[in-house]
Amino acid sequence: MKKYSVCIYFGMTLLLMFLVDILLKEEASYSLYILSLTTGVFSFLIGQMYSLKDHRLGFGKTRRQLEKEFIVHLGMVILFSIVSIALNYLFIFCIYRVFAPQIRMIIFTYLLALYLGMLGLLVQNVNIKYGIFIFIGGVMILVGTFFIPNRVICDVILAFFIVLFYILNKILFRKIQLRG
Amino acid sequence: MIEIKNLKLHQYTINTTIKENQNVGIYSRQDQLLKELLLIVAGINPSKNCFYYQKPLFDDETYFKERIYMDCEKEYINTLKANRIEEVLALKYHKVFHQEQFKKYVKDLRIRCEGTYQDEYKFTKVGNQLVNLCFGLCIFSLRLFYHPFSFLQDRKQYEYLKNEMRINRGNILALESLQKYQGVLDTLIILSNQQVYEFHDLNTRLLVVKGLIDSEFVIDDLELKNILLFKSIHQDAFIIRDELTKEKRKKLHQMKAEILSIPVLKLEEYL
Repeated sequence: MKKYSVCIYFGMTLLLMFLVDILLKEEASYSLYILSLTTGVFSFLIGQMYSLKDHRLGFGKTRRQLEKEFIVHLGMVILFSIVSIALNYLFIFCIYRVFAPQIRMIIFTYLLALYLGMLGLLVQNVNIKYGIFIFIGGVMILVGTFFIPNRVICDVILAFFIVLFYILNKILFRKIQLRG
Repeated sequence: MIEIKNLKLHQYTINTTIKENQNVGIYSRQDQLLKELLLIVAGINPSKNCFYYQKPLFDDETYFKERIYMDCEKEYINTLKANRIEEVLALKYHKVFHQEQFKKYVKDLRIRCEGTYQDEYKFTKVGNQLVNLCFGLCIFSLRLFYHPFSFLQDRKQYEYLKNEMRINRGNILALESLQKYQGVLDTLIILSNQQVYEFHDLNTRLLVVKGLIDSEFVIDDLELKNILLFKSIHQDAFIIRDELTKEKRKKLHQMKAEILSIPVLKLEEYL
């Protein structure tokens, strides 16, 4: 289930990214941020609801403990989202004054994808390590966008990074999983 | 000590006490029912009728610290590295895990041979079940196992595990069959067609009544419902407790019924 949901989330992120490409000609629409936030929170909620039936109850965590953990994680996600939106807002505000509209669009799209990716990974794994990975990747892509003007190549690179981070995570953070 | 007082589950009313360090088996022909009951006893599904030392056990922190629930057909663990398992268990669940014991089980049961080599290393169903059981047995707590031996066919393997269960007592087992559990249970609870029967002596004999034209009619006519365990699906037979009066026995003989006396753990052969 976890694997599939991660794939679904990646797929959704990419789809949203392309939608942004189509919809967002030049100007950044903040309603999309709200949309992504809602999507993220919903995925998180669904994930948690699913996990309330998981093995942790069998291994000694009570429902009450899981609910407490859930609230903490939810707080984390919301905080992460607010910080992310604030940073993006600041960043976009700055680059609006510096860069041409075309480049702004690319930057914005990737910021959104980055944000969604971070949120998605946080949601799925409740693990900050994933967020850091995707963040580093995002920064690299962001830098890349200044040098690669072709939109398609950028998208391919982003997809490549997402897969790479997933694999890297598997290799570097391979730990015993008491499955859930 | 777990007490179940007037627990209403489907058509059954369950009253029983499970003492510390007892190996208890619960058997029903309905897997779903069995699972529901075990989840209630594990404190995962809500119920106001189950108690752990007089306290309701549903979602009770003390009880959860003292017990572990595992569906032995599910995958929980994908490593045999005992130190990692110990680390995670201590960190996440504050449970004590006996590393050396686990290593011994892995070696004795040759669990490493129970894997499939594809793009990733995975346990076979048997392997997974063995890992689950070994893992559970290495945790010092009350253990609730759902279908513990369902995939195990090798007699050596389940005899070994049975022996370990006899040593590491305090297991509540939801049984998928009865015969494999000879010699390990102190108490057997059977959810029969209508009632719940509890057997503390597993040498108790049951009676199989065969060869009747209309067994349904005979059960009603001789008022056998209160001692009836199961009606056979394939054969026209039924299984009752060995509590037949002389008259009833005589009547059954007159109807040319064949009456067999069987040990309780062999009743499955006649279902």
